[in-house]
Amino acid sequence: MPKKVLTVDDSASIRQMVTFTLKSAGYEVVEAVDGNGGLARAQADRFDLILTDQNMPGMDGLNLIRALRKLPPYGATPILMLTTESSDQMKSLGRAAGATGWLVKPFDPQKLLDVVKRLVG
Amino acid sequence: MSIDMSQFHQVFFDETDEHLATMESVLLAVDLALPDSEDLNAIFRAAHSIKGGAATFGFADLAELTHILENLLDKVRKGSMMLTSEMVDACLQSKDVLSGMLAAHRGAAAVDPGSVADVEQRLAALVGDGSHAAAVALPTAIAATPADAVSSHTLYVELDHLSEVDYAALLQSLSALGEMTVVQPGSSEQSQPWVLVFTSALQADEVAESLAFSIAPAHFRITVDHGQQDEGGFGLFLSSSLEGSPGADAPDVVFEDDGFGLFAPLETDATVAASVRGDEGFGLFEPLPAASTAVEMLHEEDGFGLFAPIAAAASTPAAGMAHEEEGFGLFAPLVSGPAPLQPETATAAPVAASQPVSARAERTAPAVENSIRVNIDKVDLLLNLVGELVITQSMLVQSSQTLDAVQNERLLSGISAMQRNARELQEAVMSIRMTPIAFVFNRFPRVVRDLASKLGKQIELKMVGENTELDKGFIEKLADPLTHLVRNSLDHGIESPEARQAKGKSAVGRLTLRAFHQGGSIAIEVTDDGAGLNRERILAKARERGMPVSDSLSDSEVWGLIFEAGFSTAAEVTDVSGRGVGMDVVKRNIQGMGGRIDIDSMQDFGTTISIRLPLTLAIMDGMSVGIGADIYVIPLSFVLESLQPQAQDLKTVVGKGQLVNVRGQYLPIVSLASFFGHADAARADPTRAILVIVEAGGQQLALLVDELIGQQQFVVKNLETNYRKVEGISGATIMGDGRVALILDISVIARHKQRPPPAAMRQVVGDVA
Repeated sequence: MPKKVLTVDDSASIRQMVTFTLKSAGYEVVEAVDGNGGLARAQADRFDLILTDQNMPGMDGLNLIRALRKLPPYGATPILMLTTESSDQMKSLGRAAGATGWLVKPFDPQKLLDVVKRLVG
Repeated sequence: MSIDMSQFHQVFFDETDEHLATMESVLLAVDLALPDSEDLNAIFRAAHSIKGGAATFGFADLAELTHILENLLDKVRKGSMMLTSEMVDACLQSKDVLSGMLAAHRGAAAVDPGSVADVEQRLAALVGDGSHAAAVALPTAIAATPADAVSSHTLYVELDHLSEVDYAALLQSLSALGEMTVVQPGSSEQSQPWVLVFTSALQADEVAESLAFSIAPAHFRITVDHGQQDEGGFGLFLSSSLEGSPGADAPDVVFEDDGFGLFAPLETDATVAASVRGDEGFGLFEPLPAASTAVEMLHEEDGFGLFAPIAAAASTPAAGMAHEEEGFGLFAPLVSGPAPLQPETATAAPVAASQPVSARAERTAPAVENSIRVNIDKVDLLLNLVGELVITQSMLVQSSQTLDAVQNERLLSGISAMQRNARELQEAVMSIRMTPIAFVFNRFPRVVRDLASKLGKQIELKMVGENTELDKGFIEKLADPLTHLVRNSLDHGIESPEARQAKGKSAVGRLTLRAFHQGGSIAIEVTDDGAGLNRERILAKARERGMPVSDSLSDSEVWGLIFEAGFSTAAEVTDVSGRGVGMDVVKRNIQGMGGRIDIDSMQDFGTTISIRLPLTLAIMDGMSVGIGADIYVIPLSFVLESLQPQAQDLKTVVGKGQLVNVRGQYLPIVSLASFFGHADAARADPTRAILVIVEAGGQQLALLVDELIGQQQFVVKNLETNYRKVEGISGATIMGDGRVALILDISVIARHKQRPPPAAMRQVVGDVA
């Protein structure tokens, strides 16, 4: 069974890049365009890993993580923040919200793949 | 694995276009005195997204400029700087430079480095001005991991913002217990929680206990810091969350995998947890020795099992990695915290807490993309094929008319069903090409704003009917003519505030752009309440240019003069408009789209320029007329009426040809037969033929044809691409019987009137028809 990854980003190009990269490596990838969409997808399905952007209209990444952590199936699922902000403040917010880790944008596809492999195999 | 990043560029370009357009329209609409926080966020997000994409796909110039822009916008968004009109100007200027950069990456000429440096400097200066204010808003200092990890813990605390809680008092009491930094103050808007970093000798459970006095456990969450693993750009938080609602199934996994029954209480609430501890001997972790056992185990096993989080990791290769790379202790919470605090904080998790979340999610669930981008060529091809289908279909209809209706009943009903389907298909395909005119209108707030400030005028722009849809092909072609008209209105039409007040008008001029459907066409009007056209000045100018004009010309004929090439009445040429090129080009462009343009003006009341366009270029309502053995099509939008003249209504004026009296108005007669050089042209006798009265460019004329055949929709075929450009003919169509009919270009015919067509045209008519 391929691992299922949910990628949440309002940028179509980033989504396309993430999806292409992970699919090429054999993962199953589902996309959502914002926090609300991501949450709905997460509830409708089970994912082994969630990658989320921070800045999105509607529900942002941090609020998505908070909401996911309150859902029984996602209490422990690795959730990675893909963000252009890597300030200590952002990390603190992410950690407090329940993120597993962060990956700073821009990243290259290989780096993304390495990180994803470490988190879900 | 190497991935070709260029495959994502197109999507990035398209979305950047959208972000830039959003940024511009929001900037133009923003109220400086009371900016809407959602607007500020939208502008920020646009810059932010462009920056992220640009950096990812290697467009350093875009990324650099958006980075500076984003810094500024972030401060504005967070309220540490006030939005000023200089900022809006600078942001708009950045938008232009970014558009230029984007165009350059798409293959256009490179952006002038000077303008880039200029806007970067401008933005940097603006950011610099307010930077001191920003420092107040958000303390970013995070307490360093304490040297003595045993006696001091760093906790990340998240508290929901609740109106009934006195946070000032709460935070003060916390800060009395240790070192505390507010990373993010809470706010009820956007339900933003408080985020604190708290360093003290207290254990997480102790902090949780003291918080629980003020805030229900469901509303806070504590994360114990075990450091973090940072690999430059990627990192993992080595922390254990004592959160409100742990995953229901997670503890099970913990059980199965590692047998640490001790964490079972996680999924229960506080009272259960307490009883579990008390009654079933789970107290084992309360005493220190037990805790140290746990710690030992953690050591041995690298911390598995404790935390549901690792459930997945534990059974996968990741687990192994945790060992190897040391980084995966991350979920293994307990490294520094004694076990019992887990149940304490697990309290936090009333299942009900997730309820509102799911309700919200349901409401917004369909937030999935429901549109696709398609290359316009594909749509055009589709439309073309449908056009062919419609022609074939009408051929079938025509051939079937001779068949016996009873014998061929099924065939005939099939044909009529196909006719219906083809028509629906055609409408559906055409609707794909329909785009709201907002795509053109949206540029005008910016154009008007820039021009008004340049000209020192006050202008209020009103746009009506932006959602009126028209063919995509028109959208692109309309931009230039409309921009020209708007610039003209601003420059020549609307007066300076002083002049307006002197006339008793409001100092603020009004410019209205309006689009609406009218019959089978689209009307677009540019209306200003300015000075109006000056009849005398136009006539004087026309004489100066040697145009044959007389004072008896009607107003609309005088207004029509400004469409003549090289005509400009501007007293002085400004860099905004008035170079005398333009109105003639505007008119040509509009006519090129099969449309017409009219002017209505009144001195001191203003001017309205109306453009009328067909709904689409591909299909047109027309009237087919017979001339000799040939069929021509007159676009219906030009046709006023048809009549058979009486002999007494006809007059011949030497040198001007024949005229017909239509209700007291003499109109020139143009014989299409002689215009197109038909051999039997000479025999045309108006009293035995039909006159079709058409109107183009403000003047009426009577086209002499042999017969009226009918009125129907025609699929327009471009003559230029299939043959060559022919004056007087705007296109061709295929009739139901397979014959080619030429579509008349009425405005050209009106211009030429009787003038005999060039020899080439006769040739063409022979070739094609």
